[in-house]
Amino acid sequence: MKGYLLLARMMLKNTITGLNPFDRFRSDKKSKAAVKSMLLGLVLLFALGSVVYAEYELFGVLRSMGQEALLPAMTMLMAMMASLLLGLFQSISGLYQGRDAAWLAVLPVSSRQIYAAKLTSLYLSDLVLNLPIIIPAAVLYLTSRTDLILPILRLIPIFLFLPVLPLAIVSLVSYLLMKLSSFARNRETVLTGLSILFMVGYMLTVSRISAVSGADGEEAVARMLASEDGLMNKLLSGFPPARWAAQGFIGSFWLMLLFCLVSAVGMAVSFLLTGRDYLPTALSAGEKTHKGGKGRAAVSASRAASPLAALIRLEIRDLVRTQTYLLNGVLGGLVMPIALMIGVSSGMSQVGNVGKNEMSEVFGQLDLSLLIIIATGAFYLCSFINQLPATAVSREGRHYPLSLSLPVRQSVRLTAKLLVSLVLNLLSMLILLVPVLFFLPLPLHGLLAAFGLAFLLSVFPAAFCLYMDARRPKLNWMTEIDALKKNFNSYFSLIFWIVGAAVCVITVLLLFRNGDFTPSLIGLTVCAIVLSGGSLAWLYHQAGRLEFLPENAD
Amino acid sequence: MIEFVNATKVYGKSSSPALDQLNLRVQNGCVFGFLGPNGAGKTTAIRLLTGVLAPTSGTVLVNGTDVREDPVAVKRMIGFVPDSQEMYERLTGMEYLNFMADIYGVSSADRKARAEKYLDMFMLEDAANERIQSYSRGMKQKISVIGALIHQPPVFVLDEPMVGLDPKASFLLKEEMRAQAQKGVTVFFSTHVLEVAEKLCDQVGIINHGKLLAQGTPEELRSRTGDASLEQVFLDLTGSGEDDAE
Ligand SMILES: Nc1ncnc2c1ncn2[C@@H]1O[C@H](COP(=O)(O)OP(=O)(O)OP(=O)(O)O)[C@@H](O)[C@H]1O
Ligand SMILES: [Mg+2]
Repeated sequence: MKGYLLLARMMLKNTITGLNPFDRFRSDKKSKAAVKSMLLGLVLLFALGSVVYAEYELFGVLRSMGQEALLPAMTMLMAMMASLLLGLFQSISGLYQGRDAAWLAVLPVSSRQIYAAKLTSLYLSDLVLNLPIIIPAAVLYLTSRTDLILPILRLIPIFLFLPVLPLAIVSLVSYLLMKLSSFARNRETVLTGLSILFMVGYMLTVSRISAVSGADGEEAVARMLASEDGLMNKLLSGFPPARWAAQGFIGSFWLMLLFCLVSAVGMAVSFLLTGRDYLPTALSAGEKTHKGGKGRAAVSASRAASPLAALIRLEIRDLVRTQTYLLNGVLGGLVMPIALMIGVSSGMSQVGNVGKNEMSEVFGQLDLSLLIIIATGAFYLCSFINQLPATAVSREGRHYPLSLSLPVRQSVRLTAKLLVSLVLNLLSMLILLVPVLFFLPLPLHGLLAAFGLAFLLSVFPAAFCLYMDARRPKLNWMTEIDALKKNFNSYFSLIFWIVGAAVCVITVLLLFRNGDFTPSLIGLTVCAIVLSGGSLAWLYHQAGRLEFLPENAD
Repeated sequence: MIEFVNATKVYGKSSSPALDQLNLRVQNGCVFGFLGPNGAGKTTAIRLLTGVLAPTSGTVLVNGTDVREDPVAVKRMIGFVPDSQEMYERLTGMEYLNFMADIYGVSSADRKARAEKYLDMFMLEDAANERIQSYSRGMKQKISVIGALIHQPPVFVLDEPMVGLDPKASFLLKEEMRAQAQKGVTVFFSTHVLEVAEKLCDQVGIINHGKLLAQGTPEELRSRTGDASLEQVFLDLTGSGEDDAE
C-alpha cells in the first residue's frame, strides 16, 4: 500500500507540473510573467466560455422541447464514450509503452501496486478533462429545478465514478491486446491493427445502436435528439451505465447507487484479472523485435532532395514508428472523421434512400453560402484533435540539442513539423469528404471552397500551437505518452481550435442580416485569412528568436 | 580555429554563471581536451560552440565566423557528438547516417564510401539495418561518431566521447581523432578520463565553476605546477574535492 501511495503521488506531481499552464512563465521576470499569465488566463476563459455558451444554446433548444434533462445525459454519455474510444490508445501507451517499466520493476513494489498507481494517474487525467464539460451542463440543468441539494449530492459520486467503468474496460482490453499481440512476430503492426479493429468495431456498434429510423423533414433534427426512439435515447439505452448515471443525477438515488456499484465492481474485476500480470506484460512489451535484415545497407539509395525533405522524412518516420504517437497522435486525430463517416454511412444504409432524399431536400432549401459555411464548419471540426503540432518540439525530447546543432535554420525545422501535421489535417478532412458529399448538395466549386477555407482555418491552431511548443517545449520526459498528454502544450491545440471556431462563429453571426449568408461567408473567409496568415507570420517572425535551446524548457 | 572571447553563460535567473568569461583559442590541427569536475561548465561551453545555446555575453568564433551572427555556417563546419545517449532512436543506423548526409549535403558517392569505411572500422555493419533503439550504449556512441564524421567536418566536437566504449572502440576513436587532427581538423572534446587527455591532447584546458583555471600542453601544466601527472594537476587545481561546495 505504501508503495502505491508513493508512486501515485510521484505520478500525480508529474502530471500536475506537466499540466499547469502557468508553469511556463516560471523563469520570466515577475511583471512579465504576470502580464503573460493574464493573457493566457483570458484565452483559457474565452475557450471555456465558448464551451459553456455552446452548452447554453443547446440547453435553450432542449428546453423548448421540454427535454432539459437531456443536456447532462448527453454530456455524460459523450464523456464516457470518449473515454472508451480515446482511452484505449492512451491506456495502451500509458500502461505498456512507457520506458519506465524497467525502472519501476527494480523497485520493491508489487505489480498490483504499480498498476494501481498508473491507473490512478489515468483516472485523474480523465477526471480533469471531464470537468469543463460535465459541470457547466449540470449547472445549466439545475437552473431548471427547484430542488438543488439532492441532485448536487448525487452529482458528486456520479462525477467521481464517471471515468471508472470506461477505464476498467479499456485497461482490460489493452491488456488483452498486449497479450494477443505478444504472439505475433511483428508485434507493433499487429497491435496497431488490433487497435484499429477495436476502434472500428466500437464505432459500428455505436452507429448500429443509434440508427434512427424514418426521420422526416423538418422534425428530423428534433426527433433525432429528443424523441423516445431518437438518437440520444437509443444511445443511452444501448449503454445502460450512462443512462443510470444520467437518471441517477436527475432523480433516482438507486440508479446513482447502481451506477457507482457497477463501476466499482467493474474496476475491481478488471484489476484483479490483470494487476498481477501487469508488470511482466509491460516489461515484455519493452523488448523490441527487430526485423531488420543483416548485411550491408544501400547507403545512397534514398537521398533526400534537400535538408527540408530530410527533416520531413525524419518527422514522418518518428510518427509512424513510435507506437504511442501513431495511436494517440495520428489515429487519435483520425477518429473524429472516421466516426462521422461510419456513423453516417451505416446510419444511412438503414434509413435507405428516402432518408437521404429528405436530408438533401432539407439542405437543398438552404442557400449556397450557408451550405458552404456548414461544410466548412464540418471540415474544421475534424481537424482539431490533431495534437501533433502542439507537441512537435517537445517530442524531440533530450535529443533536441542534437537537432539544434544541425546546420538548418529554426524556420526550416518548424516548417517540416508544420507541414507534416497539416498533411494529417488534410487527411482527416479527406475522410470527411465522403459524408459531406452524401449529405450536402454542394456543387463542386462550393465543396472546394469549403474544403480550402477549412484547411486555411486549421492552419491557425497548428501554427500557433507549434509556436507555443517551440517557445517552451517539454523535453525531459521519460515516456512518450508524457510528451503527448502530460504536457499542457498539447491542450493548446484544443484551446486554440475552440478560439478559432468561436471567432468564426461570432463573425458569421454578426454579419448575418435578413437571411443573406453571403456577407457571413465573406467574413468567414476574411477570418480564415487573417487568423492563419497572422499565425504563420508570427511563427516565422519569431522563429529567428527560437534558434537556441530554450533554457526554461522542462 | 576555435575562439572563445569572454564567453559567458548565465542560465535563466541563476546567480552564478555556468561559464564565466571564458577565453580560449584552439588552432587548426590541434586536439584540445577540456577537463573539469561535474557541473564545471564543459557541456555549456560545447553548446555555445555548436550554436545550441546563445552566450549571455562575449563571442564564440569558428574559423573566424561568429556563431551568433551566422549559426548555420558555423554548424555546417562542425561535426558534433553530443553527450547524451538520446538520439533519433526510431531510425536504423543506416537511415541515421543517410539523414546526417542529407542535412550536410554530402554526395551519394562520398556518403557511401565514408559510411562503409567507418561502419567497418567500428564493426557496426551488422547492426546498421537495425533501429538505434535496440543498440547498446556503446553502439549508440559509435553511430553518433560516424554520423558526425560523415561530412568530413573541419571542426570535430565531442562531449565525453569515451563513455560506454569498449577498449578497442575507444582506441579506434582516439586514433581517428589524431588522424583527423593530422589532416588539419580542429578536435575539441571534453572528458573525465585523464589518461586519455594526457596521451591524446596537444592542449588541455582545466575548468571549474565556469572559470578556466589552466591551459597548455600536458607537459607544460605538469612542469608549471610541479606535479608528476595530469591527474595530480587536476586534483590540485580543482581543489581535490575537500574545499569544494559542489
Ligand atoms: N539547462 C540548464 N539550466 C540551468 N542550469 C544549467 C542547465 N544546464 C546546466 N546548468 C548548470 O550549469 C553548470 C555547468 O553545467 P555543465 O552541464 O556545463 O557541466 P559539465 O562540465 O558538462 O558537467 P559534467 O561533467 O557533469 O557533464 C552546472 O552548475 C549546471 O547546474
Ligand atoms: Mg557535461
